Amino acid sequence: MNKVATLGIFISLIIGITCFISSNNWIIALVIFALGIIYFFFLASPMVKRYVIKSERFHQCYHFINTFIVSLSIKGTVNAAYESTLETMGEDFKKSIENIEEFSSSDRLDYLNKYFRFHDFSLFIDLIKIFEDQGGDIIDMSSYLLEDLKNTEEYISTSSAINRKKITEFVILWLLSLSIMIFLRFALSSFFITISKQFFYPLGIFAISLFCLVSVHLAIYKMCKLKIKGWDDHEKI
Amino acid sequence: MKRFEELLTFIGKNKNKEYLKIVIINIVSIALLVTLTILLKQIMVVFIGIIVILVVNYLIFDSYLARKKEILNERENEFITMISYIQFFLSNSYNIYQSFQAVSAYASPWMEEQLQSLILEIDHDKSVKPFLNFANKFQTHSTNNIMLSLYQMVDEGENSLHMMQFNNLLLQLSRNQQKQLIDNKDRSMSSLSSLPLIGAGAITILLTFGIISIMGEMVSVL
Repeated sequence: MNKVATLGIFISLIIGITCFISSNNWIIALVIFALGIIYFFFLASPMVKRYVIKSERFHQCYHFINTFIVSLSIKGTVNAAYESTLETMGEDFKKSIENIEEFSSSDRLDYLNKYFRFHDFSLFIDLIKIFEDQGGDIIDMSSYLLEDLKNTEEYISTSSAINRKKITEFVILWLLSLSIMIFLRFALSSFFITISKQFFYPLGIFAISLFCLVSVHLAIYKMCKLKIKGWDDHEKI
Repeated sequence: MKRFEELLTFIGKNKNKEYLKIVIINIVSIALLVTLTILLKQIMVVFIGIIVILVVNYLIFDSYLARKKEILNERENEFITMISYIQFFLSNSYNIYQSFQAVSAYASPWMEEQLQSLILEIDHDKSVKPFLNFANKFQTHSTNNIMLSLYQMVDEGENSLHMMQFNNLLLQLSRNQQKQLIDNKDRSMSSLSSLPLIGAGAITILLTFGIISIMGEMVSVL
């Protein structure tokens, strides 16, 4: 079971238990718990997975292009640059391109264009084609591309820092809100039995718990939103 | 009406087909509303139905505007891509005119058309006008600066100072885009903090309402 699913069970359990304590109605609590589990297993987990793949793939792309351009400026040929770049790449990357060992270097780069579905990588492929056709100083030619890649890499790391900070705030605030729900149930214990029998109260608790789940979805959705030019979130990875 | 037709033409939709689509959706919705009102005999159904029809119409018009925004964004992005190709060619000893010609091979049909008209205009007019006309097809102010910088290179020669100025503009454009994305992310994530507070408010309202209703019952018993 992946981390998101485990975390999902934990979060659904917290919301479900809070719902049960405050409403004294196990049906509502079970419905909320089940909705939480369904959401985390079928929606949140794939969403987070895509986000992780996207950012990891961009790190690989950034590393690949940088190393390739430096190697190309030293070795002068695309083939030699490709080989020396490949040596510096991680095992995951090497495994995913095992089936293109036989291809020519330009075909390999074209194949990688499908793996690194970023706008900057397409730009890089065209740059290499122009370099192969007409020569020139590759470092000079790629100055904008390298700067743009660096900016996108910075955007990803800053986004991840913002995510950590804001999600921590969000979790603390929701924990405080849910604890208010539990504390009031015990502090107003004499009123609670009468209140819980009123028809609107369990419905209200259900609505608040549902709102909590919806806000968790919004938090995950916004956290996973990473705009990198060229990458289509709906395309199959 | 004319503006709406212009919008449809801009997003590449056939105006007759779109009018027909909107009319059919509205006729079906109104027929459904009339049937439901006759069957249920509830005035609330009419109000809810009217609201639903208005929302559906709003969503249809909004989808056209969203498509227009998307096209404009795509064009801005393509402009930046095109300029980065021009930078490749300039750093590879091409002149501006040759770069415009060479970059057409990498452009979309729309951009290719614009580039061809720019090249034609440059052939007939050696002033800054063709460059500004081209920049006016985009919405951001930076396109003007970049096209002016390219014109300066044509007018005063592609010396290293102008190349540096052009490269700096290009890098500035990339940095601005990145800053914009980070600001958007920060704003979007900051809005999350209000959700737990709304939740806490709802809990308080629910309990207050419960206590008041109990007290009301107690008072009526006394």
